[in-house]
Amino acid sequence: MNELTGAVASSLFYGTALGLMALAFTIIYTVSQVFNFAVGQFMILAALLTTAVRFTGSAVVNDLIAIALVAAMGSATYLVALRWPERHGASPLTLVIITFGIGIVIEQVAILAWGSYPLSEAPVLGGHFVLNGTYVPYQGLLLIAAAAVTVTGLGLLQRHTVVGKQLIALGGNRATARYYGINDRTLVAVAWTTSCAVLAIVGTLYLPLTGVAITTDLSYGVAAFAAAVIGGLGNPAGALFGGLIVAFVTNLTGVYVNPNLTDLLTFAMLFAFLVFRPGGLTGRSIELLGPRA
Amino acid sequence: MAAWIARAHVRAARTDLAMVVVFAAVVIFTAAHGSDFATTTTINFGLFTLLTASLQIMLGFSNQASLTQVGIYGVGAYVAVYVETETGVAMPVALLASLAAGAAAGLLLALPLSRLREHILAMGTLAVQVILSEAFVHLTSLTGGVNGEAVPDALIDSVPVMATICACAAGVIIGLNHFRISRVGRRILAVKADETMAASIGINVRWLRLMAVAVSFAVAAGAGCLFTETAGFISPDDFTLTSSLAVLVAVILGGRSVTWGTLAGAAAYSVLNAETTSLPGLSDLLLGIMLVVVLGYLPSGLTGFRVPWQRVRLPYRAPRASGAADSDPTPQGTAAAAAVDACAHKEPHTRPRILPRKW
Repeated sequence: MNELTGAVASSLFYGTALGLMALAFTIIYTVSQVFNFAVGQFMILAALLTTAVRFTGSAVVNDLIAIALVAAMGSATYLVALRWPERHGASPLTLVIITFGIGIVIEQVAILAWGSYPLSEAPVLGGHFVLNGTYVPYQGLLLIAAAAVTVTGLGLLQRHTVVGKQLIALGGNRATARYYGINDRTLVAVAWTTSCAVLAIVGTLYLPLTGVAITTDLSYGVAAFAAAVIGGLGNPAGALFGGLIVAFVTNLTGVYVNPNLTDLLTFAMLFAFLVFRPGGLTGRSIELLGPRA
Repeated sequence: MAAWIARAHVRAARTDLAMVVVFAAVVIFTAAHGSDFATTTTINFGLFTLLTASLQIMLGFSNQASLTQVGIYGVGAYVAVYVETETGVAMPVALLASLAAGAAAGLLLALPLSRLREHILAMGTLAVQVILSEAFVHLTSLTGGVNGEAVPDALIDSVPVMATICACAAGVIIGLNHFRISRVGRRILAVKADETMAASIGINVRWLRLMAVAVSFAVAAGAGCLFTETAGFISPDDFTLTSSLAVLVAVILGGRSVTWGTLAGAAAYSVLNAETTSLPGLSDLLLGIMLVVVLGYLPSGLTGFRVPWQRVRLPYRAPRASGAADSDPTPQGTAAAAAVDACAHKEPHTRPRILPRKW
């Protein structure tokens, strides 16, 4: 039973983190049909920034500073690296590859600044309780609470504010939205800011549980992509659900079947979903398939 | 063969000659230089050119983006090593085995992947690449796991192997140069230009896309076999997602030209890699910056931009619709040629701007 409790607890924390990352993925995808493969890098960068501002002495203040910085970086990234190509008709594939490039730049700069060895980050809530012989850290519960607040809050903002509704309109049809006077430049930048803020929340709250190593960025990013696809691209609740599924499959296979098979199984699932059910589990129909020929 | 096709082949032969001269010059210069570093650099350049050319078959001819190229390159390498160690056959037989393995993998993967298009297809192939990387690490009985596998009778930094690899690279580029003029080549370019239209004039779209993947993967796997000949040792670190990304970047960086674009992309990446071997981090950083700046701000690649007074030149002259003596009489031929014309004239990265910038 100890084994099972431990696996379930770590899957819950990992799944929540992946789910929030998939949500960040989804926020940008719904507005501009771009997959942002720099999610892992932004997330880990936030954790590294909290270690850089350690001098403030308070974990909460560190986290808030890091979240603000990474959110600002998100909109700056869009405006500097993606806005011009997007306006000049670059294909979605080119934009995806550019986000890979952004990720590589962030990773290498972070290695220059902090080195590639793992660092530890101070948690906001220290301590743990013992459940069934397993240590459950309070920080993990904080992460789950923060995820609930983030998802609910973003959902409410999207439905009940003008900016939220404009974002939905942009996602539906950008040209029409522009005809109606929506400033897409500002709004897509807002979407990037929101997305990166969500990533920074994951980085600051989840990574104290695991340790911070910038070299794990791409695997986090690809796992988050798998979660987003499995949950249904463009569906915020589905993103969280997908994250939990990926995490449970990964951890339970690791514990009960064969630890070597975990990633293989995750990506086999991603492949099967992309090919046979591109709308994901939540089944929202998205135009992923080409014309039937 | 219609006369205009023959003329197009003759005109393309000038590019062939230039390719032969370029690769011969590189080989002779490296052999004269004589250092191991120069030989390794040229070998890497030749292998990378083969990989970009293999991706060009998918992306340049049928608009199928792939992030699996280096994974298949790895499959070719492991198959070659396995065949050579188990049966002790000579390298040409192992090369055949690799080519067959690549083509089989292509057919197997293209069937499910044929449901996907454009960047979603790229994401599907990304999943395949990750699965292959994991398999290389964990199928220890076949691949030796993270410890890798030693290659029997490898010729590290040998000039003849380098010359062979460069000859193969030049041969593949020359083949592509003439393939695009051939009947099948024009059909597949029509598929690239507009799938629905191509299907409506009787082109078997599904079959052509399938064949493109099979041939592309066969070339990549063959390159993997050549790699084992020079490496002496292969491990999963040689076949990662990042390398696959580099191949895709090199193709996009090179631009729309099947011949010079392939060469320019591969050369730019190889030079960058060779200049920064002592600082691997710097090489990655430059790759990232290059990716953002070049793909973002130079969308048609290194060979894609024209000086204003330069005329657009097609790879061949299309037949006139009315009464030209040497025109292809079948409506299908003319329509396919028109489709290729449309493709050649289309500037893929510039849509007409229908809205003012500010409201």
